Amino acid sequence: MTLSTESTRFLEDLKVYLLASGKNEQTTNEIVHELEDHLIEAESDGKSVRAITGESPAAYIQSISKEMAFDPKEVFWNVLQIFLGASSFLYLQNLLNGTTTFSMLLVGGFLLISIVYLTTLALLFRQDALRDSARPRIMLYGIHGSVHILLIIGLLIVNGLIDSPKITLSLSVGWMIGALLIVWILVTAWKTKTWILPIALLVYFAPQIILRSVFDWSELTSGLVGYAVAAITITVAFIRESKQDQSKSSSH
Amino acid sequence: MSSTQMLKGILDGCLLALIAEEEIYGYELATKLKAYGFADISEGTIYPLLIRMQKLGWIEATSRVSPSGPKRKYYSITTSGMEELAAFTKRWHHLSMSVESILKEDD
Repeated sequence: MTLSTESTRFLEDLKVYLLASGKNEQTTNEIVHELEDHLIEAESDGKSVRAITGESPAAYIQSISKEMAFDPKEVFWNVLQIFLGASSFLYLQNLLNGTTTFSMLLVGGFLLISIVYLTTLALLFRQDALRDSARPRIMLYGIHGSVHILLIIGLLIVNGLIDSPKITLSLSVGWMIGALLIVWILVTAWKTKTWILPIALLVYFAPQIILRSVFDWSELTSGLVGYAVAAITITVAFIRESKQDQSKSSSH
Repeated sequence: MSSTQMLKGILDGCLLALIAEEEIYGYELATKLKAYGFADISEGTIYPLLIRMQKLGWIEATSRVSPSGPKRKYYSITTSGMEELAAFTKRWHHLSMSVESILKEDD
């Protein structure tokens, strides 16, 4: 038996809120699954989601969250994942350009931006999960993402202007770290069944490598083409995913 | 104070008593509570309490296939849960006797 749209949304909101609050993923899945079971039986007995959550689903979600422990290990891995995911573009781009010197300011700044990005994104998710409206605030997420891109651009500019301690790797060590980074990204994607990052890396770097090695294009123009191909692919994938989600929820 | 607020304070003990009777899953527990007269409480109220009671070690959960098909989480009481239930029963008897005697005086 399939659940009503209202119940499905409640379960999605509950999951998003708990994960964005740093709760353990397995424990979160367990409680979501348990409530899904409860809702299936309740709906077959003619009850609505309000019979389970009371008048305020938001207050109910918070009452569940209050009883669940914060999982620092889970949060650490999420931050690390975002940090390595975001820095992989920068690191591999440098490697492709033959640069293996990295400033501490750049590495530290990138880590800080990743932490701020994840914390504020979790806050937005938590707010959205408790809102009455089913529509996520796309505009706000767009602004949030853009602000962080600007922060990264700002960091790159400041890094070019200020002299800070640097780490220089030999080319072989640089490539070894690059290979480990790619393996780590692939393993994480396989474990989480989320292939967006490896695909984004592939569509960003493959055109660059081909244009530079086969057609002898410059770093800048091939980089711009890589950026454009990656941006278009991700946008198309995002629109397709949203349309699939919409048709799934309207079929309920 | 509404009857809902009053009931919430004693729900832990009632849930423990029902779980002590037999291994039970969430929906069954909520239905039993309703049948005993806890109709004002929304069904989901039991889940935050079940999470807390598991943390306190009063109950434990086992996930297994139910007779009707899907895998479910069944709750059973632990030794420390039995001790808590005994303590709750004692507290409740004392409280209900005190309330009863005050109400009788009012009559």
